[in-house]
Amino acid sequence: MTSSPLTSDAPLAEGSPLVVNEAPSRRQTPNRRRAAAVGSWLRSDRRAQFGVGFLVLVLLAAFAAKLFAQNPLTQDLNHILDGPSGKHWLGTDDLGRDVFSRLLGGSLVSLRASCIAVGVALLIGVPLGLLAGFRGGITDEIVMRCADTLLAFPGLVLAVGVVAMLGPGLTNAMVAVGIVFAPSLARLMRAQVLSVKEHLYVEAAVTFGSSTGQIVKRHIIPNAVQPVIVQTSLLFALSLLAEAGLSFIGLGVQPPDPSWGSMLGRAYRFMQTAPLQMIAPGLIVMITALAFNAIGDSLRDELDPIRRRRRRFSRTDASVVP
Amino acid sequence: MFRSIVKRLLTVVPTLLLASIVTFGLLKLIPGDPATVIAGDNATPARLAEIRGQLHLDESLPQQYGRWASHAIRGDLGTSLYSTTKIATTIQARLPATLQITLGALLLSVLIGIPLGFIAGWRSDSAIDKAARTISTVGIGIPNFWLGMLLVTVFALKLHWLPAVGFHGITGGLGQTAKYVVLPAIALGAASIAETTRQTRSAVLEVRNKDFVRTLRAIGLPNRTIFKHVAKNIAVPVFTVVGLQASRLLGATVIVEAVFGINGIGSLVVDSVSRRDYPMVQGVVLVMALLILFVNLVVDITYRIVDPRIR
Repeated sequence: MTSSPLTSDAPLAEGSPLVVNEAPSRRQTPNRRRAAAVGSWLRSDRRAQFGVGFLVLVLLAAFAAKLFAQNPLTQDLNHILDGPSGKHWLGTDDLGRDVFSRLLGGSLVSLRASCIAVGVALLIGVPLGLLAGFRGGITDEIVMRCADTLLAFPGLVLAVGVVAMLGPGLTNAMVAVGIVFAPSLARLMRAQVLSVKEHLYVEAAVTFGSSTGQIVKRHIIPNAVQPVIVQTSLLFALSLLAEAGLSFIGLGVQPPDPSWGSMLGRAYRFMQTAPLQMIAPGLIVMITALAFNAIGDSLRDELDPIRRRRRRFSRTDASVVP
Repeated sequence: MFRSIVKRLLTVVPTLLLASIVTFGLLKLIPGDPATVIAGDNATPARLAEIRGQLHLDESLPQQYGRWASHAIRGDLGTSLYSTTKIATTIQARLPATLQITLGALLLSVLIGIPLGFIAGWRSDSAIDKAARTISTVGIGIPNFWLGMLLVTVFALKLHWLPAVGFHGITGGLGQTAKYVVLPAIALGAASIAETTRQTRSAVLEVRNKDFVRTLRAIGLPNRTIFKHVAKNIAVPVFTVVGLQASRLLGATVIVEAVFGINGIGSLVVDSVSRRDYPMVQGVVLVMALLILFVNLVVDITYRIVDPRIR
């Protein structure tokens, strides 16, 4: 996902005088150039390093746990609500289950849930925003009126409403969250398309006789999609928090499956007797959300040509000065 | 100005219509026969017929919607399936608690977020700016219910400074109310405080670098005067952000009220889900949407009065 937007900066970079000294890279294939762009982004930005690094770590740990760690559902009834020990690194919960393995098992559940919500939001929001911005007129009016209406529903409340009707379960809940997120993406995409549409190169393509499909595919989408990508990584954080919240009140993942939110829901019941139970799952939700936000903030700077060029300038300056 | 206000007021009609259709449609998401789902597997045919009659399930969809909407306009949201009380009455009784913690959280985000963001933007890269940036980064990422649990553990269970759960109406005196409101308001408002700080900061940064501010500085006006000019110019974006928080906060009450055991409409909707009280869920969703539409309307009209450039 991170690589596709960076293709669109290729013509931009070639046009800029700064890239002259990177001439060999021009012979590279688009894929290699994309990889190089991602590489330079990761090397140059600490926020990106933290965000991507942490997420990769969580995923690796989760998959490793599937192979090696204790079963997150196994009960050790001699150790209930225990503190950390050699056998149970983060202690055990109220049913004697290992908190550390549940945390790792829950990470896959929680991340998959965020992917569902973000995927639904993208699938609904981006095409509709594109359509509204490109077509304009009555289509625009209808789509935007619907978006405004959906925005009037507080996200979690509509999700709770949908879950109430369809029955509790993670997929239902996250699809509902995704629907609630869709209008903001649609609005963003529409605004971008509206401004890109006015550019000279689009007009030139029209004069050249390119088909509408070609224009949308080659010119509009690559140039309009960047803020959507930034927003997507911020939506990942919001979805993660929404999943945790819904599972916390028992409307998300159903027992005995672990998720970070449902672990906090159990910890809540033993807040008085075992207050330490809430620390690990809460921390990991927060750090993961921060990681997504850090990636979003960093991408916002990276994808903004003005800010990036400013940074490159300062970097070149620094290399000349010493 | 009046024309634009009237125009804005007119857009409420289609939005309201759509919002009511969405809310009405919620009940239609129930898979299978709603009466069977509501009554359970062992229901008698008489009970099934009663529920069908209560929900008017044998009418056509437009007829059902028309009946529901015309009742809703008159403030009649139907009867709870769980307690046979009027839904509107229950919501009315529960609403003050939710409004109090929401307003408390909103107040916190205005009182903390705006000054903090202003100083951070005014003196960017200072120690305060760095602190503000850290606070807003963490505030956006921290799960509100977890923050609530931490606050309860520390301030209620360990230090015994504040009550852990429950709620006190405003009639019992302001001090008593504040005691019960402060922790939920912090938990609920953390994300809003963060967002307000962040947006105020970037608004100040942007205005501060504008040409007119440089001119004001160049003619040697005192800082206080420049401050006034900057404040006026960030008013609209900051106001927008605060307005947007209303929706976020109301939505978050669903979860935060559960942590603090507050009997507001947020916990009402969650309880109603487990009781399969579908009309009650529908009622709360509608009321929340109405509240937010109302806030958006007030914000938009205030803009038009404050800033005549907006049409």
